[in-house]
Amino acid sequence: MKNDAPDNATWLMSFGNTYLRFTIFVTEQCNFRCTYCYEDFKLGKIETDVVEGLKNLILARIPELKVLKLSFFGGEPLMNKPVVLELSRWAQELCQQHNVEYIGDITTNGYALDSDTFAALCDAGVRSYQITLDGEKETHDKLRPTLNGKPTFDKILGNITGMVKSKLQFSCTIRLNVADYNFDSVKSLVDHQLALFTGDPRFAFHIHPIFGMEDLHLSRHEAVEEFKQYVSSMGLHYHDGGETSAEELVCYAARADSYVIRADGAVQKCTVALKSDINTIGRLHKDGTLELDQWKLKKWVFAENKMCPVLSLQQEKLLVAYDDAGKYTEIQESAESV
Amino acid sequence: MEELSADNTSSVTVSSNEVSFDAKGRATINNSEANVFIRDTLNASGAIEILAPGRLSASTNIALCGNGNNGYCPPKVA
Repeated sequence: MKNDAPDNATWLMSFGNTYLRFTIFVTEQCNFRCTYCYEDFKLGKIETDVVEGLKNLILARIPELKVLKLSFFGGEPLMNKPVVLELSRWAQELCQQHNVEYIGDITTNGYALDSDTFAALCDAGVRSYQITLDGEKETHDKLRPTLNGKPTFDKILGNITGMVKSKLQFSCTIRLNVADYNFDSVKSLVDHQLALFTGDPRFAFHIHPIFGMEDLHLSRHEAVEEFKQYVSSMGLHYHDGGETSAEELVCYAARADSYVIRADGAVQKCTVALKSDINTIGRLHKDGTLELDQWKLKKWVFAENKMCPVLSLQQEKLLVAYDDAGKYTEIQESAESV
Repeated sequence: MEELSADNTSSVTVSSNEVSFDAKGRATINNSEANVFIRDTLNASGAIEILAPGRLSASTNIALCGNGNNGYCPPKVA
């Protein structure tokens, strides 16, 4: 197989065993019920044995690493804040001892990201954030309510405003999920409320079409490119995805050095096709060893489309992407306030 | 000793059946550890320069090599 696209070097580098990334489902529970979410919320907090297995694996690999990246994911990772903080502090200290660069990032809905939590996360080495807003208040609150149906916009924007005011060093991507339904509202949000980010290099925007929902379809995909140019014309930063422009061209799921760890210790490659058999490539044991299905793992790493291996695997009929979108998003009015 | 890739166009060949992953999640190529060297495109004197692994730039060229006598050898140092 010959790989001579511009992203070839990034992909090849992932075979070098000096970089290691884990995307960790620290809990699979969430305090939101976004209408287009594809997760089933069946698992709870990450098991103690899985955390121990992860630490043992990192300890076994640390002598040869130059970069360790822990990406805290869920569910809503801040619903298991103690584990996020403890694991990140531990990794940060270990990396300092071994002269390894540590990168901690978190994909959070931002609801529980108050100033104390934000400061504690930054102190623990979690300095890269992704927070989603799906339009102005009314639209966002319809698309991203709490588990018990309450609005979330004001609290999230308040927490982001707190981040803007802080003097801490971090990066934050504001993700905007779009469909025809909310496109104008997203544009209006950027126009009227997000201008406070102008000129702050710590913030960037990322726009992403909603997939898998018939009533939340984006009919003009070129609108994403137009939006990107619009954001840039306003002096705001746009972020395509990776840490570097090269990383944007190779999805973490196509890298040979990137693993997703589910709360029950299942090892996967992709954070979208969670229930697809091809995505469960193995298991992490308490002693830090990985039991891997070589064939499945290589289907991801050697996928033709390295920007999105899911598309290649879908073409091969090995999975159906986003077939669970919106299936588990029922509001539970009796749930405790969040 | 031949390099896996001797050109300067970022073209390196690695096939799925050569690669496996061990119990630590490390990639091996033909059962040998994969060393990846980033190198510049040809320097002024026409020699290949090997740089330390790190961030990539658009002009970066790369060689993928394994340890041991399995046909993959380290690239030549300028």
